[in-house]
Amino acid sequence: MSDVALEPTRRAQRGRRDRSANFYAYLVVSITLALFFVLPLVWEAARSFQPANLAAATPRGADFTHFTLGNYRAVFSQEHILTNVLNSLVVAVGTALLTTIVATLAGYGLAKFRFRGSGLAFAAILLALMIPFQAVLTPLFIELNDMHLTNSLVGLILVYTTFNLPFGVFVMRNTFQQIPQELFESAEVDGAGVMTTLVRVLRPLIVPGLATTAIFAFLYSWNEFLQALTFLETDSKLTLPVKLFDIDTSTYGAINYGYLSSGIVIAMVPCIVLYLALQRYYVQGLMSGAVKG
Amino acid sequence: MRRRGNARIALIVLPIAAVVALSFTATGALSKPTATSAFGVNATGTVQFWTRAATSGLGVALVKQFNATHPHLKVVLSETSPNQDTTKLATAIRAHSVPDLVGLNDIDVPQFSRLNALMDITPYVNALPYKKYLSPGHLALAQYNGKYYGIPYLGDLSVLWYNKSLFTKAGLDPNKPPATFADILADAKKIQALGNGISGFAMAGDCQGCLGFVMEPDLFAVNDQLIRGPIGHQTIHIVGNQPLEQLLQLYQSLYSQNLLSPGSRTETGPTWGNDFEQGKVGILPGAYGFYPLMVKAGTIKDIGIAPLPGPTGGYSTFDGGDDFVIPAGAKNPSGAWEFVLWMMQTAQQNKYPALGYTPVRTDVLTPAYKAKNPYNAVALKALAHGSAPVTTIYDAAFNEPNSPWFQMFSQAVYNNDIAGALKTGQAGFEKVLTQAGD
Amino acid sequence: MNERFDLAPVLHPGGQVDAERTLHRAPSSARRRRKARTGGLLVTPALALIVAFVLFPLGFAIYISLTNWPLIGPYHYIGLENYRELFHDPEFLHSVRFTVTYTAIVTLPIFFLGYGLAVLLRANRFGSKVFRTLFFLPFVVGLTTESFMFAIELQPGAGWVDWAMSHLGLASATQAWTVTHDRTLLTISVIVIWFASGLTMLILTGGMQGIPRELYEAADVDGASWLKKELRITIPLLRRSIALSLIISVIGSFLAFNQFFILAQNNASLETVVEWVYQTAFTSYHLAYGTSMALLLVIVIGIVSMAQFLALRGETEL
Repeated sequence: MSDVALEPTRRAQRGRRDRSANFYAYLVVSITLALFFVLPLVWEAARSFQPANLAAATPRGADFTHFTLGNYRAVFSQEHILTNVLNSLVVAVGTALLTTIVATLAGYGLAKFRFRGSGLAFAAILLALMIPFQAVLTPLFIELNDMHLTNSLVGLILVYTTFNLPFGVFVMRNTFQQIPQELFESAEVDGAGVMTTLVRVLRPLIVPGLATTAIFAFLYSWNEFLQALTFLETDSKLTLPVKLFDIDTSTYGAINYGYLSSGIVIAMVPCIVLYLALQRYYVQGLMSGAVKG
Repeated sequence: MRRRGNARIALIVLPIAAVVALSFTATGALSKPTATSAFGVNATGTVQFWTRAATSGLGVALVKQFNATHPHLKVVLSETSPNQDTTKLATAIRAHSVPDLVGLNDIDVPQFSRLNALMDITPYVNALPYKKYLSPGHLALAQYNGKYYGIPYLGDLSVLWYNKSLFTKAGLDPNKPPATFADILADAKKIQALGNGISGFAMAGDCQGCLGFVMEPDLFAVNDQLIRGPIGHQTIHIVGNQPLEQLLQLYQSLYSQNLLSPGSRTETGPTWGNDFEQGKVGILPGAYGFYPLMVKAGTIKDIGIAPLPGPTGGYSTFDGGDDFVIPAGAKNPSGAWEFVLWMMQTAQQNKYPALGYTPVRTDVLTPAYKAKNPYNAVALKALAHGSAPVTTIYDAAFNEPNSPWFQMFSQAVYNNDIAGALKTGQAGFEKVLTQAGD
Repeated sequence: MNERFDLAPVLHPGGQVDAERTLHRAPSSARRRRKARTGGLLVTPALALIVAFVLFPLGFAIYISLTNWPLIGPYHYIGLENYRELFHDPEFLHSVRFTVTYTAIVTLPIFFLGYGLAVLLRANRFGSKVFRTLFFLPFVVGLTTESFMFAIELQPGAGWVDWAMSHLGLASATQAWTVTHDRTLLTISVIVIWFASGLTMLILTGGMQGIPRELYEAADVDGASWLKKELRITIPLLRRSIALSLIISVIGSFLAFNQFFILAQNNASLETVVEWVYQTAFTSYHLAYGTSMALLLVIVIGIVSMAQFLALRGETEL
């Protein structure tokens, strides 16, 4: 959104005008709101360094004097939780890669090639956009189950990819449409094949679209809960959110809030890091619907 | 060039197509019973063993020991998510990719035996020399149409815990645990009167399954069941059920007279019993499984154990816990049975109590056992009087969030409408029964 | 709000056919065929996945809903019986009423808070980019993770919520938040508003930055009040962004699952439609019955999306 920002001179002008009571009011309100939005997240990070038994006791200032890495050590020595973190990583990275590849091909095909049925293909993708996965959860379960793709990370990646595709195809199709036709034609004249053109000639131009598609797919898969809950069975296959649910619902006083809080922080960190690093592409993706067109 | 381009696309398309195509090839040959002599002896390979999270402690501890002593056979343990275990097993059965052995909550066995989803192990069970000593409640749940589809695995029994030192302080006899409903109410009142943050009674008041587990034995004690008759011809007995009405009245009184510990109303299970373990509660109907936690908390010396009483006497327990079942189509049933036989040996059964479980062979209850496990001996003794409803609707009727059992309990106890609650319960149970087609 | 604005591109119709138009220069027919085949091949993987995991299941769902399909075991055709039962099932009807109530409760607060945040930061003043990022963080982290977080923090007597609320004199130090119906609904609503308003803010900010500053300056010359400027300039020109943010928020609330499943699992009175579908199909094994409800969900969501799509398609460019 910084692209849409006001031009520099006007910004400087406003900057001067802003040094007023109005500006300080803005600052105070914003900082208060920032605390409201961020403090719960920061608190959880701090809590994950508390000894596990304190997490179930009344919070007091003194609780934060004994920081320990114990929870994290326990999480990473507990074979299972580590497995679950890795599962989540495999699924999120796998989905991001597959979505990006498939969406790029389709976006390219829809934007730059003319063929019979392209309208129908586009309509099908459009239709998929309007069907929430929750609505086809049961038939999808039967289908995956019959295909031996339940309790399988591959199955989960295929499904996550599919539900990320409509958005990805739109983004990539727009990206390709913005590339001047001449570029394709000159590549063609040089004798470059379809894939060569894509990989060598256009790569720098489509990177923003790729980044947008990839970050959305990654965050979706990293956080997804209901499908993972439905399609996965055994402990060793669970993704992190479902594993956290297991920890949270275990019986007979067995909940270890230390594990849970450090697991929560492990679930948070990639989202925040990825968002901060690729914020521009994320916001662009978000805006592609809202401002363009 | 163009050709090469297409070839690259094919490289991407083909793997996806292959995955999809491959997945459609169904597998799942049914295992046929083998000769009893070879079955379960010197098996090789691996055994995929699923255990539910609530009772995984025993499997985790003993599988390690089995693998250490059996180099030719490896048991691979997987935990299924809490509250998801039957769904996950059903999923695996649907996909014909079942584990070799499952520690299935015993009350869930009938719904799977009825669907022919489990291996018939009747000849192997009948061949066991100690068959007559197996927990009767567990075994009854494993039996369907005269055949055995499972064998007892572990006992997770409900008992009455009480705090002897608080009993003494309140002027009660620490060696006389409550034996009737009236005792429970009277004792809880005296202990509550101690003040100082001490409560008379504790329960998991927002945990459907927990409440069923500790309250039903109060009815079993007088041979009362809410669901009666053989599967396929069952009826509901709630309206007009005197002991049930008394039981709801007891809990209603405990609630309305403020005799419950502060966390009782809102407890959903995860921290059930913690307040009792810390010595702040007089009476707790709970699981024998709390035992290791009390040992850990260091309060066990103050704690007494008793069986759960009936309205005016008698006692019982919920034959909770798991049956071993071998799903139909398991790849290594012989290996699974070899592990089962090992678990059934006295040496292994004797390891159960310290881990919070009760053995499933009543013949291990010797004087030596009693001396070594005084707390578990009480539970094991109650096992002979134990019961569990044999029905395919247990989960739907009792354990689920919107179960008619919990609706009835809430209406009676928290809304003080026992007559209305009984009607709600009767209608709700009947609806579940109709839906299940029984 | 589990769905991450899958809908955004729906609002970006138009321009589908320009690919065809821009392919000028009549190529030889052989070349055209070759290119057509390549184009088809490029789209095939995406199409295959969508057919396999969206369109086929949709058709399959219709079939399932006409049977008594359990999770395992035999089944047979029963016609419209599931649908008939649905409309007489008090639990199902309750879940619909509850979901609609919940949606009604959270939608406007999310919108107004998001709008306020966007207004606060729209001038690109010192620090506004940083604040924007911070306000959006709860959405980035995701509601699933945050539900677990609040499962810890809402513990009576042990979480920071009780600690903070009791110090502010608003609740006792051992207040339970997720037991009674009203309080749980309120608690979860506050969490969701906290989680989702950043998204509304970002969407509206995008729209606001597209409004020419000259319009405001002209209004300033006319001496228009702040409120007047908002009502006369911002809101009319933001129609599209406002519609988008509201639709995303309504659909997200209607499909709510995670926060209720995690924070109010034991409370049947707080069961959303999706939760009901999940429990019916996978916990009670009445797969077909759950499916029939899920299909009604497709119709409801489809109508909302379609109306949205058509409304915006008819709208002229700014």
